[in-house]
Amino acid sequence: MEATRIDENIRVCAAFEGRRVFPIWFRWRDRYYKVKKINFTWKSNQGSAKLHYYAVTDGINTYELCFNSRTLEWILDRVYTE
Amino acid sequence: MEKRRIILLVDMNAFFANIEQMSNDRLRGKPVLVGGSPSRRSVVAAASYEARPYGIQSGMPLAKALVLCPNAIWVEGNPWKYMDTASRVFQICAEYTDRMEIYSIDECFLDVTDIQDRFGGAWEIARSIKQRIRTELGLTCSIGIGPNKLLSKLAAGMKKPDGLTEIKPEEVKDLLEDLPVEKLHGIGEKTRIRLERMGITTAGALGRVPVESLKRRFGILGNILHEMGNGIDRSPVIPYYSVPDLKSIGHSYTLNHNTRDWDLVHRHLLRLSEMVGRRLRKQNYAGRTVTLILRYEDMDTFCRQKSTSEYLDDGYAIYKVAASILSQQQEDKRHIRLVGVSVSNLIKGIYQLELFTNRRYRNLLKVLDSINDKYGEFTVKRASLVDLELQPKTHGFEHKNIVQRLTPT
Repeated sequence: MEATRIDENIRVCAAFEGRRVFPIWFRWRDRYYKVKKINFTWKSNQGSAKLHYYAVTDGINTYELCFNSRTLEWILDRVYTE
Repeated sequence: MEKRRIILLVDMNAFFANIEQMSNDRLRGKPVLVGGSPSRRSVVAAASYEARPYGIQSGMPLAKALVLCPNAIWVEGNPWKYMDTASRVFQICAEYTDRMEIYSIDECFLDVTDIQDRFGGAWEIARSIKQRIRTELGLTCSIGIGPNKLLSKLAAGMKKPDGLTEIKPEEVKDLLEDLPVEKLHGIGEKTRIRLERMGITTAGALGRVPVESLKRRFGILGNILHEMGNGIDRSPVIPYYSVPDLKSIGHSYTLNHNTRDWDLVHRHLLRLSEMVGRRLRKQNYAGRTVTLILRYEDMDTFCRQKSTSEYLDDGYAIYKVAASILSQQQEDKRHIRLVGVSVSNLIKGIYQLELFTNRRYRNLLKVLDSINDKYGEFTVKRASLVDLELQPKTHGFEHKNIVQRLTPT
């Protein structure tokens, strides 16, 4: 299992349902990744900005996506590969 | 008639490892170790249940753990992830009662004495909490039910993982009779050895020793030991929102490499002092005693205090006091492994006392604090800290952070 820090801006398609957000797919380095499952979510802060983290899988690898509620940016934080 | 006291202890199973297994399905069913960066002198913060049969325990050096279980998958810890998840667990528990004591990042006591009837009894409350934690977070916990904190803690440890155990008052005597004393929470290795020298190895035997005899050997602790041996614990569940005033605030950092580079040590000390200052100001504290902590390569720890006439809450002022202690220590030829600083002798509400005279500097601190509050710690910092290399934070939890996320129901 290898964890790689990426920290790159990505394009994300997400559904906002009630007070929750569900990433559906993301585009990273010219490739689309369909989110098959959201495994876990958590929050942290960067100053007053709330960061929403999603550990998701495309069925192959696990990706940690981060949504910054102040800048409205999505970041691919880490990738876990075999 | 006074209701029978009932306390629950909610204990999250292999908490950090369980969270990592939930986050990444490829880790499920495998031995997982959570710790710091592998390049550092890291210890295991948590081991999954699959890793435990290999003899791996929390606190064990990571290198040793990997020798015991070469197939174990190491995962770098993420304290923010664990703190946020813990706050969600405690939020669920607090929906049942506000008489909840956060005992550690993965344990809390609930006093359900007054609410048990409303939820169909303590067993039903425990079942409901377990189910919600599983459904909402995907995690498992063990819950112990008992007439006090000591026995609920004992009960929670009897069935792991995913257990639910109740110790009823009428079962206590029989249960404790042959129970090894060290199974009682609060009896550590040193006390166990001292008791063993007295011929006491079981809780039952401990309970039968005359209290005066225990007091002669253990002082004030003798009384507590006598009660523990009889399954008595009078300590209350202290609600999480009534946290007592702090005694000290401090930070420490294990350096990336052992060093005698004093410039580097000073820069880390300045950074840590700034962190302490920030926390003091955030919580409206100031303190008069600064403690410098140095741990050397041979694990010998140096710790010295210095008191000032003024109360301090400014990182640079704290650094200057700590640096003056450090300067006397620079003759030591050993390399330094860890640097720490803390401030004690605290007073709260110093601003109201208006003891500070340098208003311009206070105003500057306020502006810097507001910028760092908005954009994150060390967004604005002293120039000497700009290129200071740090390892990512992989351990260290502040209960205060969790408590602040919760509001009483």
